[in-house]
Amino acid sequence: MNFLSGIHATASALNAEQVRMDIVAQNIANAYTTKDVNGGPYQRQTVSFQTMLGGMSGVEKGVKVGAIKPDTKPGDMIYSPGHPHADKDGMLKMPNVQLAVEMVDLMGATRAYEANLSVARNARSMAMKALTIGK
Amino acid sequence: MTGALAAGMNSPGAKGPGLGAAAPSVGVGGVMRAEFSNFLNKAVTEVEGKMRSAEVEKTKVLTGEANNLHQATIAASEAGIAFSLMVEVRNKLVESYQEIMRMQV
Repeated sequence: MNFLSGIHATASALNAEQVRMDIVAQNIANAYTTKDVNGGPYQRQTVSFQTMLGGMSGVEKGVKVGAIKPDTKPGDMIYSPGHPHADKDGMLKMPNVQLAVEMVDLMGATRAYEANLSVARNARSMAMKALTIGK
Repeated sequence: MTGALAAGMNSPGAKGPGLGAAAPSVGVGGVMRAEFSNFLNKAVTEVEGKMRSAEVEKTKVLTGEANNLHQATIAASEAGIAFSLMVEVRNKLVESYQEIMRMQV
């Protein structure tokens, strides 16, 4: 029995938005990380979504995280002699994270999460309304 | 809790044979009753299953095994709706039983 129609799609979207939020958090946390695991500065990660079949009927289209790819755009070079990660000319490669962009992405993720939550809420209230038919 | 309710739901059914014996069509009434109690049993089992899975999800979140809060809340609200539906069916059942008991003979 499926009481909440479309809930699988909504749940998958909530999952996906959570991953997106996690990635934004990671980008903001590493906004000043000049040494990543590969030796260079941190590269901001981007999330892309893709549809996913699932649910009770198997035709309900949910969403899943398709890929998490690094943004290969080079970051700023700043002059900072004495910094342990600076090159021989004293230039330091900064990550390509722009806080304003990340904040906008964060807001987008939050709003999308909210939108999906309101779908869930409405599905629930529809089911509860249907229960009052016999009264 | 669901077990107690299931027992409660069976009791109007248990008084069924008495009513059925008074009625002329015993066989038809008996068959109908068996089918309906089966259906009811299945529904109660399903509600219990939903509640159990909601409980599992909640435990997973609370113990830190999973960090998707929404799965737990969705499972909980689904279980809640299933339970409300069951209570609604039970209310209707008791209501019709009482209606029959009030009948003048």
